[in-house]
Amino acid sequence: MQSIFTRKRNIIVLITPALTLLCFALLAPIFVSVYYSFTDWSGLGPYGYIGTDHYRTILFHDPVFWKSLKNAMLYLLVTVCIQHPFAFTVAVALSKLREKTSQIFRTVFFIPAILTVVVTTKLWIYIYNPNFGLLHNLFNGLGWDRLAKTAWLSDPATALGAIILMMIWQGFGWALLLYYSALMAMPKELLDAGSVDGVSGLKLYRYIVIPYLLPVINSILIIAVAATLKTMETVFLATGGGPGDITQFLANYLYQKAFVSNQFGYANAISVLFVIIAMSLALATNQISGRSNTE
Amino acid sequence: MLLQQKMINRYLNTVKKLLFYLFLTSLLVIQIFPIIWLLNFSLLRNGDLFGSHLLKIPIPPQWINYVKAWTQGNIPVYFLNSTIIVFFSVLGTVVVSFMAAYACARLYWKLSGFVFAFILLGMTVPIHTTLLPNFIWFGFFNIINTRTGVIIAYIAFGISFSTLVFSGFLRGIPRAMEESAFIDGAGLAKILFKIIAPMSQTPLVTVSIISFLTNWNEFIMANTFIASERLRTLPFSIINFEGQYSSQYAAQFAVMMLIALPPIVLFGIFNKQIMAGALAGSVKG
Amino acid sequence: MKRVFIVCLLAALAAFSLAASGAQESSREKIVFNLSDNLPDETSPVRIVSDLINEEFLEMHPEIEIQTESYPDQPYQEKMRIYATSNQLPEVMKWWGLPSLYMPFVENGYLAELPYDHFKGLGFIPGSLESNMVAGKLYGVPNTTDFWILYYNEGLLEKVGVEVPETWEDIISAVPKFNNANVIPVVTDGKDRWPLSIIFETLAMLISGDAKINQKAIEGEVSYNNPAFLQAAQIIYDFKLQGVFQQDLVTSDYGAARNLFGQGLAAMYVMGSWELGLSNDESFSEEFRSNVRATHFPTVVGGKGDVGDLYAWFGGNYVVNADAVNMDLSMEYIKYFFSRYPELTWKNNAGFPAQVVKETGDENQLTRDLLAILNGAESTSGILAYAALSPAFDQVHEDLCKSLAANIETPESFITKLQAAVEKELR
Repeated sequence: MQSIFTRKRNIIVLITPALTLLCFALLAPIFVSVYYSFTDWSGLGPYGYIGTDHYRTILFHDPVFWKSLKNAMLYLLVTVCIQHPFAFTVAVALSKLREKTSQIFRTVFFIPAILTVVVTTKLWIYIYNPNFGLLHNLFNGLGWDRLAKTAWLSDPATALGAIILMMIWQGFGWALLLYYSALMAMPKELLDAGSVDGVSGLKLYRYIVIPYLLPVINSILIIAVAATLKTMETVFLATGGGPGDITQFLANYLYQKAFVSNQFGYANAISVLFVIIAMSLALATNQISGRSNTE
Repeated sequence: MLLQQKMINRYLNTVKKLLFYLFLTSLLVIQIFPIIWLLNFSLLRNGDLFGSHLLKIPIPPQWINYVKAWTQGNIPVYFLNSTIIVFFSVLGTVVVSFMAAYACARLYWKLSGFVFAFILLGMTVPIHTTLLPNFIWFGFFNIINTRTGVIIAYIAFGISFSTLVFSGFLRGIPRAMEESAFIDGAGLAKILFKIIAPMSQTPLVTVSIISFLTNWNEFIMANTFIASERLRTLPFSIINFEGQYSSQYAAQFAVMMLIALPPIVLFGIFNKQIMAGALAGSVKG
Repeated sequence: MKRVFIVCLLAALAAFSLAASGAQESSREKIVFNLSDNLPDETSPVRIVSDLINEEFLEMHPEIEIQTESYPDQPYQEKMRIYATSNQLPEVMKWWGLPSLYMPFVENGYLAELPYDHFKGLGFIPGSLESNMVAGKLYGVPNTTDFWILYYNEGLLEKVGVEVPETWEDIISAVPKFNNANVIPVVTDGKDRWPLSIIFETLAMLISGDAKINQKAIEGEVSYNNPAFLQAAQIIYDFKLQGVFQQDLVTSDYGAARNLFGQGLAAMYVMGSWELGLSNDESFSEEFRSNVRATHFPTVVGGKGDVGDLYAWFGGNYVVNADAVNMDLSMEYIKYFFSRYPELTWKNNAGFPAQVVKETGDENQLTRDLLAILNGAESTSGILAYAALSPAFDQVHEDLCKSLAANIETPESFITKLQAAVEKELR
């Protein structure tokens, strides 16, 4: 059937704006990045071609790069292994409540997720302040002197944990929302059938709910994995990656290299590696979830 | 014996229920308390921050902090900029991705799967990797330090997710609708805007809201691409205010509340759509 | 219902945006003159001086409109680099004379040459203008004489029962008293890191007794393995356990540190002489303002240096964009700025100009303290050595000092890495 649904002109008209924008603002810059990653440009003035020097330095002689990557992986691990199971549990709990009550909880849980990172980060900086912050006053009131005096964001022992906690706190609402909607979308008959067969409690979830929701859980996780790599603002505003490189993340690191240390070429090389890492991670998650889907 | 057992059971059930609510409520407190704290201190005097109270009843409430924040923090200008940028970004994102999603989900062509995958791949590109090159690239086209540049970037970064949400919805519409319209002699534009769009109200609202929230809250691109004071967006105002009135903590908190308010209000109104849409994206993809 | 609401909302937004873009067109009749500085705080005395000069300049030039962009140091520096990359620098701007910031701009032709002979006639302290000359040409005019000192809250020290400290050992031994009184002994800005680098260099100077030791180190004449550097590093390393500075030193930014001091939560404040305006900053209580004083940076027991060794340099610095749209106006402005700056600064307690000023005799207590420190100086460091090489070295130095203060680096590893960085730089 030669119809308007197959006409090339229509398709081109519809698809061109999206593809143009993606190529212009996402794809082209990656090539620009690749180009500058082979130069020693400082961001100002002339520059020369230096081949793959930057890549070799980053991969073999830059501990901060690896540290940033390790931090991202840790954050990813916390997200996938703690935040998400926890959010799922809370979603299950909420699904047992009356709709009105559950909605109140859901709304409140979600509020941090809709605030700009700038506000939540600044807010947490005040909460963590060891001289007059919320935590200081709380622990002081309880008489826990050592905790009251801990400088959560400055102490090498607690800084990374404090940063990750901030991000988990903010991201929790999204995870909860996704799992809750997934649970709500489950066909009622499935649950009823389960309880008729005498399957109940944890077993119901283990053998019926979770297997049924697996595809959904997988796609939620893929989005979460992509999102963990996209966090930078929190670090940028709270610690700048410090103390030392303890809270450094790739995005913040490349920003600093470019706009603080004037190593624009080097920063672009980090940028290129970052894209490669992000894409491979997304593909890997897809592969793993694809395999578990067919099982 | 049996009676006793029953009572114990009942007692255990009550304890369970109690613990259950205790758990949920404490979680509730953790999620919301910081924001209540922020609101509270935005209504107090500067010096109160240095006291030892967790919260303090604001008598009388220091509305002057909000007045200061609004008048001295350059907020009206930033607010306006945010509004303009977000308005066009949302509009652009919705239109462009709706069209793309329709082409991928409803039209017959060989490359549709490939193009769809390409669009989705955009989701994996971290914003930050484009900061540096786009800085040069946009500079080349003279759209650095302009609203246009930021709007283009925002739309481009919104396309992937929005297309995903739209296509999830569009795939579920029965074909008969369009085909009967086609037989009646309608063109594609008419089908798209008169038949499909009105049916797609839910995903349209969802995408608009989510893209509003994302762009309203976006900081790092706006911070990098926009340098002029008169073009700045709202999230920057807290940074600016911090430098400008570094010792006026209460007013800083008021600025934070002012930035946070629009998303909260919007969320209050469109609660259901956000919830519905959030799932559409993840489940049907 | 909801649909109607959405439509209304969209319509309102559209109208709003259109009105806004219309409104901005109307202000274009005047010539726009673009300035930028790192003085966002409108109540700070330095900013007040700069606003006064702008007002006077506007009176002379009613046909122009001045647009000033102001950000705190760190974002300001990032912003200006970004402007430079995209060729959008303002016409007259504050830009530090520190080589790590100054040289990239000079070498790449972003700055206009300024008439040395003209400025020479404006009473600049010998050496101040000359420190900004590259190959015999002047590109930036310094506006302040900066030196590194210790501010203290006299009333608070009395309350705690501690004498004004002469040495770091005095402060360290008094820490328990401060803890009992729940007062933070000393604060400074550790987040921006440069104060830590300056503290390190000042300590090295006081230990070695050589005002030029830091300069020699970056020139490769003295190794960072010199015991004076190691001892300086050890002192900074120990601050954390001794509880000398605020607990969150490495994440407290400039404003946070200044506020802890101004709000009376901390007794002492390590900072440069430009904080002279603390004594008339209306954001702080009257009690604080009348109690704030200054003394020399504490010395080190057994060190060869003494109170006569002053860590000082010429700071500030204003430059003109080489591609300024209104070049004549820009030149006129910078000349006018420096003809008015010293007098207005002195009158407003806004700092020490790089130009000679006459004392009026009714300076306040804090100013008299600072004058005494300056007049007591026998030798001065002259430059911020850590910032005299490339931006990358500057970063490494500051990062290392921060890590040292956070006890992530030991004094030994700190020294090793610093020496490695300077060797890489000199190669």
